[in-house]
Amino acid sequence: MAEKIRVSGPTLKLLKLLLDDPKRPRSGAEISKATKLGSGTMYPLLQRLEIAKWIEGEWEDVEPSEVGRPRRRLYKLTRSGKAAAVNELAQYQTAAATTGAPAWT
Amino acid sequence: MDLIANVAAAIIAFCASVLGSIMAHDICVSAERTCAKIIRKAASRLAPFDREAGESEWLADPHDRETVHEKYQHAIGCFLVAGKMRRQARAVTIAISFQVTGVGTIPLALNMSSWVLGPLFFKAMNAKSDTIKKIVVIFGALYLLAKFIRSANRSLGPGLKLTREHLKQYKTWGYGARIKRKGIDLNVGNIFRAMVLQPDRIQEIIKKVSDCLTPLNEPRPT
Repeated sequence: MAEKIRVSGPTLKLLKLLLDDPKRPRSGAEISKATKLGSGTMYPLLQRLEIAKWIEGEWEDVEPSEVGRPRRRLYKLTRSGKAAAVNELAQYQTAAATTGAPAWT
Repeated sequence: MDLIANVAAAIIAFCASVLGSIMAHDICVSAERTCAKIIRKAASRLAPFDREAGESEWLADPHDRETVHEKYQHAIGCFLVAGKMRRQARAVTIAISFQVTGVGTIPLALNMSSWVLGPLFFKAMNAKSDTIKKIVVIFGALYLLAKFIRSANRSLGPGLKLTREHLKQYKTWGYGARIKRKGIDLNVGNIFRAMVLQPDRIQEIIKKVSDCLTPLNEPRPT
């Protein structure tokens, strides 16, 4: 079961990206490019979400000697993480609608 | 005189631009190697159980970044954040859940890696004076109670509230406890059950628990 965590702006960005296609695992570089989060923000966030069991990481299934680079670690939402992410984004949308702040896009 | 100064300034500007171009070229050419060096240094600052995986993951990342600027930004970002990630990975939490009849499940998470409260508590408990020990126990109990009530108010649904009556019935509550650290999640109830039912596995179980708690006993990195 996913634990409750503090959700910040970068967390919402990351969760939204992973929710776009929950079955597709993404690498750190791909997430960084899509969300415009720097490595200094993104990697601790990925670690925090992984510890809380919102996301799970798995190593890319390639041979480093064949592709000429180390294997990437790919992240995707867990089942409980997906439910928690949907809930957090819905809460944010509701709060944004009541306060008049721009909704998360 | 002006002419000489202008010529000298032009020569200096030319030399500076040539040197700058050479340095920029060198930086670009050696970007992969320098970034890998920075990343290895950064990974050495991670928790011991995370080092190998962290280094591998971070070294794969620059291959997907196109510009030299992005590669350096990634490497320096990793270096700056490695300490924070080490603390995050080493944090040991005891997660207790209470099943209160008529109210629901109330979670209580205790961070055992606190740098202030934990050491202060154990230092005070080792004090010679009994008065100090009593005061510490009372404060500790009040702290836990406050944390528990706060957690209850946060986790219970609307309309549900933990009252004094519920607190008085603590003997009827159900309990569950887990010890958690990055990559490790131990159910304390299952540990005791396994120890009772499979005495031959006691050594193995104790080792696993000890591995989980290792960060608490390691000296603080300077």
